Amino acid sequence: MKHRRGILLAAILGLGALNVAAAQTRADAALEQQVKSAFVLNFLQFVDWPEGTLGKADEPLIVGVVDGAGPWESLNAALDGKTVKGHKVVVKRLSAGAIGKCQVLVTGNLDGPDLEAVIKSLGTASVLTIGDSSRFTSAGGVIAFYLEDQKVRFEINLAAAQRAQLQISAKLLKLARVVNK
Amino acid sequence: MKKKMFNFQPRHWSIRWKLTSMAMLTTAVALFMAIVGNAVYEYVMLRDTIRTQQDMLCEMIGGNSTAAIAFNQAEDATSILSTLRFNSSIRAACIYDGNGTLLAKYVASANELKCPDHPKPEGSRFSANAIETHRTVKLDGKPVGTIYIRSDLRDLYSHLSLYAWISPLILLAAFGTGLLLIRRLQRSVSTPIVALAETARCVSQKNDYTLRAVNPGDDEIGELAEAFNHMLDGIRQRDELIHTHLKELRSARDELEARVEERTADLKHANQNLQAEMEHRQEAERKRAEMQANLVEASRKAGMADVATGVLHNVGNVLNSVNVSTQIVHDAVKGSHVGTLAKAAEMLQQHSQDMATFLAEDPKGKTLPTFFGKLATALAHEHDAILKEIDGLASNIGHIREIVAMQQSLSKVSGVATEVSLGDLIEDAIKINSAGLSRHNVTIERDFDPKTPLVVDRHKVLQVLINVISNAKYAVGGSLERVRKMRIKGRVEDKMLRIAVIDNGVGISPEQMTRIFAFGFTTKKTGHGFGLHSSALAAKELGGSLKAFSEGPGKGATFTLEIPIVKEEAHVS
Repeated sequence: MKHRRGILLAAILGLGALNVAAAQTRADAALEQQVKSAFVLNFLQFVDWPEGTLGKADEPLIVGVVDGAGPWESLNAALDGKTVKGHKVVVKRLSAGAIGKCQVLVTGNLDGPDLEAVIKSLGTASVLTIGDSSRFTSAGGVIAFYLEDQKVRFEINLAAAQRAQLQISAKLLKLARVVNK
Repeated sequence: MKKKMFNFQPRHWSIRWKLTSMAMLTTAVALFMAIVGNAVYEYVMLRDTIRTQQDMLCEMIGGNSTAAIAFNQAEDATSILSTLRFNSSIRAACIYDGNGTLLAKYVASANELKCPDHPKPEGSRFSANAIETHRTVKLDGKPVGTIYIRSDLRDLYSHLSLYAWISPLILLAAFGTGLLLIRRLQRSVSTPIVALAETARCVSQKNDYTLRAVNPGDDEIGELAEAFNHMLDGIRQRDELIHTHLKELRSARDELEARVEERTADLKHANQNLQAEMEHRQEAERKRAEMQANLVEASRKAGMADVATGVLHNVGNVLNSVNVSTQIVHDAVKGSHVGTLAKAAEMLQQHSQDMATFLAEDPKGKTLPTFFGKLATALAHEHDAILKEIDGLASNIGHIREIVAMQQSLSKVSGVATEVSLGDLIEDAIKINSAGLSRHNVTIERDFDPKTPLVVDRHKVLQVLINVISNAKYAVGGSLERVRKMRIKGRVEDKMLRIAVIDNGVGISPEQMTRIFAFGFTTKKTGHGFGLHSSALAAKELGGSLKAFSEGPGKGATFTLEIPIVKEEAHVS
């Protein structure tokens, strides 16, 4: 199992190395989704949660996916069962109306009032929010994907991260477009 | 090194040079080893440093580029690598993602080698002029990519070349300083030794054992000098001793030589005397031999004369008889009646015509038959007498022949044993002396068995017997005894033949007895003193002896010949 998963990860990363433009020309949205899934896993490594948030070592790191966020199979495949910072990653589908306990929340295509409502519901909880919407950071999300030169890039809302008491690594910040909203 | 290359062989070097070269060699080796060791140390340390630096760089780049690698951000990765341009020794740097695919690269110059297609396992590898380091980049403990950096070793080599320039200078400086130091320091060791050697050389060259080495101190050389001096003392003492002994020896030798010379002179003198004596003796011996030869010759001649005399005497005696017989025959024939017969015959011829008348009538004629009868008787008588004389003559002539034949048989060369009877042997000896014996009127008494057979050297035995009988004949001839007699006794006992000739002659005095067989002893007026001497020798040659015995002068003498017949008997059988 572990071995197969390794191969899978390698495949994903390898795909990630491919030109996103090529993926788009082939109009392969699935590939883009896979790249983003791999990015999410990477984000987990460069973000530090406040002490106690992640709980004990045997407690899982819950990545929640909001209903209507779009296809999440690739995310599930990329993250589920992985170990990050000593915690097992568990991907859960969450209802937008009742977001339970989670450390990461992927909102996906969620936009507009729904998005704002979800983020608002989180308050100052230490939850790393990740979304695709162009207005995601403005809505108070932490990391937002965007496309530039047909490549997947991301934007980090430092203020939102500080509100959520999340420490984002300088290495990650160096790669991102940093905003303060 | 070859022995001929004198200068290169350390054992021919002087102490000074040895010390210097030893010190310098030691210094050079020590310095060289220090330099080499230091160079190796420097090299290893520099490599280590370079490796550490490289590792640090890799670590730094890796840390900085983790996110870029994780998010596959090539531009970011490239920009991180570009910071390396400030380090001139870095020739190339590359970043690979988790699959080993090249993500970003940096090269110092365009003609630099490209990045390897695939990263190697983590670690640093040195090649001839570069160090290549691979470093795995980890994110949350998991490898996400690899950093590769290649640096040239110009720092290392420039450092080493600087070292290579400085080292010889240090070596030279150290060597020079060392040389100066050792030149000064070695004097404390070499000077005393050289001085000692110089003293030893002086001593051996000049043979002057009064020289002494100067003691330089209390170290081993000082001890050596002291021992050397002590040795010289010993040698000098021994020298003096030897000198004294030599002098004594020389005088002893001179004395000995003088003695030897003296002795030699004595010996020479003695030798000369001896030589003279020997020559004298040789001369005497020669003279004696000559005399003996002369004597032998004379005696031989005398013996021959004796024999001749004996023969002539015997022959002469017989000739007397012959002469008498001849006279008788002559007289008989002269006074023969043959003439009367002739006259009667003439008478008969004259009356041949009237024979019957004459015989019957004539008175003369009538007596004729009677006459013839008487004549026949006379003639027969005459014939008998003549015949008898002629027989005696023949007998005498035969006797002469016998004598001559005997002499001839005696003069034969002998030495060979022959078979003979005892009687023949003794009779022959008597016969030779018969003339003398009858002249002296000697009666011979024969006391032996004439038929006893013998095998002896007849001639030698005869020679002895003849001589002994002849002597006895003279002995009895000179005796006052009325009856001159001689007894010859012959016996064979115990395989020995003993013949004794016993006479009642003049005898032998005890003083004569001692010399009787000596050569030259004689009592006869015409004697040679050879007879008994040669007889004794002959007896000895026969393996026996000739012994003389006499009770004294006037009491007769006995000569006994004793010879073995063992061999001869064996031979005969």
